[in-house]
Amino acid sequence: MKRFRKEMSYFVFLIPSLILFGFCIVYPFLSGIQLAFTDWNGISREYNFVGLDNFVKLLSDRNVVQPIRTTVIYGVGVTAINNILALFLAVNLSKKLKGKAFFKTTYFIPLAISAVLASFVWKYIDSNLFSEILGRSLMGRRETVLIGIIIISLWNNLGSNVMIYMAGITGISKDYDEAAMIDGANGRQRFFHVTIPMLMPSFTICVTLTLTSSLREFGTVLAATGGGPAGSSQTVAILIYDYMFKYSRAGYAQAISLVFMVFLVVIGLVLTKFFRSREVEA
Amino acid sequence: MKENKVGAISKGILFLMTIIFLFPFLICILMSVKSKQETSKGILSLPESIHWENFTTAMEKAKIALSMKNSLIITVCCVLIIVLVASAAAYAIGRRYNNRFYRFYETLLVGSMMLPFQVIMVPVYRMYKNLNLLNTRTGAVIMISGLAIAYSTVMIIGFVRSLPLELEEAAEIEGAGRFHIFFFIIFPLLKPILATVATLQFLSVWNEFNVSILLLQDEAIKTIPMQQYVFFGAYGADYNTAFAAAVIAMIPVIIIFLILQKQVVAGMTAGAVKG
Repeated sequence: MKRFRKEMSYFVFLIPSLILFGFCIVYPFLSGIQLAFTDWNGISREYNFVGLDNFVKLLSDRNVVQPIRTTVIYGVGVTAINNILALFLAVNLSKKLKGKAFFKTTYFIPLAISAVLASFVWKYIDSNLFSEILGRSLMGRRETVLIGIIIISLWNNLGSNVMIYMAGITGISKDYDEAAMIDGANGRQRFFHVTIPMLMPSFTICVTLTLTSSLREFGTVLAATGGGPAGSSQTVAILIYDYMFKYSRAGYAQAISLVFMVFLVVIGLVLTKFFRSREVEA
Repeated sequence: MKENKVGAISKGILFLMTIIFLFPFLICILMSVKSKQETSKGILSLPESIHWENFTTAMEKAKIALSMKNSLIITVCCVLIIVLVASAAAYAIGRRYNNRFYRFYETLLVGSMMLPFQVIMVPVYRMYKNLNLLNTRTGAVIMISGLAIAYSTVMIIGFVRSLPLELEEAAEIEGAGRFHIFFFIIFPLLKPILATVATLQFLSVWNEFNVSILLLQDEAIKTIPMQQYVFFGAYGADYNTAFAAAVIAMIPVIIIFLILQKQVVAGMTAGAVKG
């Protein structure tokens, strides 16, 4: 009895979390699985079960091809450029440098700016400055719209990866670098054979987080282009939103989102495994 | 010699990127104090005098006072709920770490962090419609907090486990109840991690967009990002007012960010250092 009471005294602390988590995530997630097998239109109270219809339709839906392509190009593009730039900045900001705090803050501050605001400002720069320099705006054309959105995302989010890489670099013991230097390794050799392998835990986090978050990008694209011009920047996340609110096909939207989720989880797991296997023991 | 050259080029790129990163802020400030005529002369043209009236127009047209109030209420409520609920759960999980049930719940929380919001978007909308929670601040606060507790709880668990048990045991012997122990012994000890969690969540709730666009469509309860989303679309032509609105919205969050930068860095790198 006493043990039970002690156990309960801990359990009580979990109850608010269980309720909130159940209400906001578990229940919607489970009812979402059910909705994916219906023809719910997002408005009416009634709907019919249609079995695997939504998933069968998805296989032959040509409207899905372009968003998937866009999402993958965008996700891979953002991840690659973001991580290269963040690593470059982190390495240089970890050296002795005058006004280091100022530089760091410059890269961190955009993190405090909402995606809507970032998109608004860059859209203006794009249509009033880039269009003069380049002779055309990036986001007004199908071919270059993704480049424009990638720039917004980089400006808005680069800081967090810079932080993580800087923390990783600070965590590497100077001894390794010095040992390599004594052995006659030059700067580049030290970077590729000491810094990079020691940074693998940071890569695991940065690459996985950037990729999974950019693959589900929603706010930046919606605020910057709304998916346009002519659907050329429509990502899967926007497609799901459009099916729900524009085309009133909520059941189908839910089926797409489930497939999308499986895809994201698999990518996340594969990437984590890939980088973890390359981590070295310090 | 060669390494010096590489160093110089790196420094050059660093400076260039810094300018690019600061450029949007410069544009915001410049645009917000220009008149329409001055704006038409080009994006980089300088104003002859500072047009403060842009700011007063923005306050009225963009309903900044109203959305600021909404954002503040929602953000403060969310941060309080997140900190309380997450620290309580983290305490239970951290102190019952050998128990299968608590460990399973921790795994569930970690797993939920991988869920894209789109998966629950449609069902959440449906649930909120049925419960008449659409377009209510309460509804938004519940959903935003609910989506944030997993990440926050996982961050705090590690910290709880690093706290020594002695203090608690001593209090227990003296007859203190679990609530007393949590609020008067554990909670104060958790301060550093709670400051970090609160700061990160403050920024993310303040800028929250996914839940807001789904659940807060009514004019009267729009938060700042939502209001801006609508305003930038509707007043796209009146750029000076829109930029003045942008500057007003930016200032408080930038000030807070600068004050709490240490907490933000600590929070964002917490996972990385552990590996």
